Amino acid sequence: MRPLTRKLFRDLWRMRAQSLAVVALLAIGVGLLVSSLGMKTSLADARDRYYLDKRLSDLQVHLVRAPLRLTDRIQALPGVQDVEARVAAPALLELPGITEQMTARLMSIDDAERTRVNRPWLVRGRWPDETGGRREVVLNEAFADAHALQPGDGLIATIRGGRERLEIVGIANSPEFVFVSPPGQLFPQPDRYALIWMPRRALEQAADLGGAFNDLVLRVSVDADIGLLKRALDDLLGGYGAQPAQGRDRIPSARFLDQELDQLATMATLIPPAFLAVAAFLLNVALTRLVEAERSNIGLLKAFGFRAWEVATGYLGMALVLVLLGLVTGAVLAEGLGQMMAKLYLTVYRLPDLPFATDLSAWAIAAGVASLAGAAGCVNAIRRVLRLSAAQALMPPPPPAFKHGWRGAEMFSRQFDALTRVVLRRIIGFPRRSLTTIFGVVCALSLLILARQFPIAIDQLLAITFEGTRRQDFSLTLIEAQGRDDWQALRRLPGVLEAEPFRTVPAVFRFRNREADEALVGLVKGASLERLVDYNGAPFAVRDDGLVITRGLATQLGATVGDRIEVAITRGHQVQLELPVLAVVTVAVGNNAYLDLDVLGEFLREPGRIGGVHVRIDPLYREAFHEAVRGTPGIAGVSDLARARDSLQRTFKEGAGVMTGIFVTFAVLMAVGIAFATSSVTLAEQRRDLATLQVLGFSRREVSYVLLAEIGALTLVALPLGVFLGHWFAMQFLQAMATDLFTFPARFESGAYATAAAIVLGAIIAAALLVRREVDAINLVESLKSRE
Amino acid sequence: MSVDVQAKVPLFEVRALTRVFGHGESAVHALRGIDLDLAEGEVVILLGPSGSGKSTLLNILGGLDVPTQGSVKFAGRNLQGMDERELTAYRRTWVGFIFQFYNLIPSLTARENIELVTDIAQSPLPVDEALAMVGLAHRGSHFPAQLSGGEQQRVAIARALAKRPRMLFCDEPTGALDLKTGVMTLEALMQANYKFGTTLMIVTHNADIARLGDRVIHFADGRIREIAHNPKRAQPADLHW
Repeated sequence: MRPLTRKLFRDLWRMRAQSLAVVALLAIGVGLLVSSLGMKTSLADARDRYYLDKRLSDLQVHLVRAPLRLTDRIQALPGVQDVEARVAAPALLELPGITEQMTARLMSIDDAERTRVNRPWLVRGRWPDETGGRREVVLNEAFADAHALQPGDGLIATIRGGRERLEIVGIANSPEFVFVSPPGQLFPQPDRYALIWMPRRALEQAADLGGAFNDLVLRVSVDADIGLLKRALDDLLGGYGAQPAQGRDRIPSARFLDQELDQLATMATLIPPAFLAVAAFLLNVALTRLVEAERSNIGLLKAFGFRAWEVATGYLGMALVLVLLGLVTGAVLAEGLGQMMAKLYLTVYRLPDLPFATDLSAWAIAAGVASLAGAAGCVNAIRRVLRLSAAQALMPPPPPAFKHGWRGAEMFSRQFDALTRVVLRRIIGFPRRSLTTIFGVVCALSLLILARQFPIAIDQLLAITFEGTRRQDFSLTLIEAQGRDDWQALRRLPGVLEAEPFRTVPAVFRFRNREADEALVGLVKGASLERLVDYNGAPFAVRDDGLVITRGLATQLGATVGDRIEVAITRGHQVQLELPVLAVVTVAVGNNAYLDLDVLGEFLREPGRIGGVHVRIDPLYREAFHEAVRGTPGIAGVSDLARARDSLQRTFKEGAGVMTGIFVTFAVLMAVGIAFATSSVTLAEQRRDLATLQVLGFSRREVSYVLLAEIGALTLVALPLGVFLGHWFAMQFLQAMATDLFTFPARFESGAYATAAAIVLGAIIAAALLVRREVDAINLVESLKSRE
Repeated sequence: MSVDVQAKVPLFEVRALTRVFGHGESAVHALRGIDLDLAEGEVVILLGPSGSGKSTLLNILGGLDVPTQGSVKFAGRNLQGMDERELTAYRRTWVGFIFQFYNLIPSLTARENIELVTDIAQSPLPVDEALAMVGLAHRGSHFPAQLSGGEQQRVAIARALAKRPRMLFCDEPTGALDLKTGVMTLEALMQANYKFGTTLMIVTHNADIARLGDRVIHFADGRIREIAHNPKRAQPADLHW
């Protein structure tokens, strides 16, 4: 090993504490960056493979009833590759021991293995055999797992009022339902909502759809003109009660997955840079300090005839070694984080597999960014080495040249005793260093605040959704819109204290050249069970002279208050409307347009009809209520809001819990690293001054004050700044994480922020006290006699 | 003017003082049993080659270092029994130091460096008076980096004098200075002795400076080899090196 190389490693070992901090921060930055980028690619790849392999539909059409013979004509439309004309029917399920309502979507299968679109695949068991007398079905895995159901078990289903026993022969998954949520619900309820595949003939019979279909899914060729095809489908099927053809973006599962991928990308761009920036700062501090301490050695090496760049290479080498160590440690961390995230995703998303793999581009980005941090961290030191002449370097460094600052700063520092002035002059005299320390503390605190803001935003979201907007206990959805009499019957169900009708129809909204497929919701005026509430909790009333739309929809359309938007509804017959936007509401969850129920009925030429009822019930009559619902024909689904809340809470908290843990750990590490580096530098540079003060008769306590007050004062400046910047950053982050379905309502939480500030402060105090112990060990005589 | 040593009560009584650094084979005996009395108001010069033990003695008397064996009494009080707090109080109240490399706080002006001491001393000199004593009344608002080496050393002297110490320890005070600034520095020190009766102990390599002292103590190999008495102290202006 060459002497200079040996020196490099000895120097690294000598500064091991600071080296460790640099490597740790680099590793965390790299780990987060690579794992989120890798996770994004892995998830996208797994999704794409799955979609391709199991042939996810490109278009889907829901209709009332169309004859099967239309399939050939659909197949012949330009751009159509594969068609599956399915029968689908809602059902109510019963399992022994469970009183709450469970619903299911039944879908017909012909030859399962050869299904051309949305091919389900068996996890265990077998496909149903139609020849036997029993109703054999295949059940989705999530529901089966939730109730420990196995092939051979049975369940009771009520389909169109007919109650029958279904025999489970297989457990399967489908690319259509990577994420299983009940219709109209945004969140998974795997234990309350099932997917059931049933042989076509049996389902035709049960759903009274012999020789017909009501659910069309198709795959298109690569060069297909989707817009043209959609119109052709609408024309062809309009007479059969078809809703407008919808693309993949309207498959809830696919939509959710896309949003998850966007969020991963957001995460990768916003969080890791903070760590890498702080690592660059630490590296800068450590190396510059080393060059300062090594002045005479540098002079000696140059005097021996080493060229400037050879000496500089040593320091560049140190940065390189640290960056490499950071990358390697980051790789291990990325792998661990990635595996953990993949496991977590697989509990929510039903994918055949999700192998976590990091791709080359993620590594290239990480290596690039880490090298950039390394370069930024050592450029200052290298410059000094190159500039220092041998003669200069062999002389002691001149005392740091303090000058009188601007008047205000001088007046300010005069208010304090001499020791405090020493501290203030250093802070003002080395503004770049002070600012970077402040920046580091602000970063750490921001990260903690962000971590605290996750659960706060989720609680807010839940509170607004379930205490502000959706205050019913249950929502009953009807198979078809019903008139007044049925409404009266529903409100007289046992235990019902309050009931409110509603109607939701899918609609296409158009404004200028933009289009959005969402739902038009009719609510009653003065509704108290289901209200339109913005994300601050303020209620909005529906109106009969126009629409109230959500922020997400407004953004999709580029429309705002006062604009008139086109609304196309297909309910057996086409309804075209042009309505003004009366208000844009930022809601926490969902993406709809709202209108008065009666006005909607008139538009649809079905006055007085309702699509469902929200009810509040007397808990004492819970069982009777469920019993009665089971016996009421025409109910397609029942959603239990308390369960929905639980399920939502679980989904979010699992994800947020892991994130919070990671962020808190990293933020504390960051704070410790910053405080340790800053105090170490202060100590190293002021060792002599601190010794002088002791000789002059200052006690160790007073001398420690000089050491600690600097990081203390900087922390005091940084903490309030960090609270506000952290809050702002959290807002930006949550806004970036918002999708058209969710807005995370963040709130300034002084209590939580104070805790975050206290944690950062604690970490800084601990690190600073560790350095302070060195004050006791200062050898007065040595420090004073040496020139530096 | 000379001080009648015999008539004074000893300010320091040093008995059988030993200082060993390290142990075993690598042990270095910096002091090997020193006995010495210092009288109040005396000017004592310690002369000797490097490593002869003169700085070690100064550091022990100044409360910066502790002896391995032996005793030091300051005004009748034992130094070696003192804990950290008492030693701090001792340094704060009774003794001052001047070092070769000035040891000013770079972030404080000349005036503020002196204020450091006057803030914590019991009956300090006014800062202006301390600055005037070393001829730097007009340089008070300058930072150390803006002062010459001699000026920095004079500020260090003003800082040491400002608390009116009974004893001033000077370790190579002119070691880094040329003749002219060195003489100015020594004049400032001697003036403290004339004016306040401050006892001075000056460690030096420079035999010429020895002419300033009442007594000159020659060190060699950790022992006092010889103590010479000057019948008449020289003036700094008479020195040349």
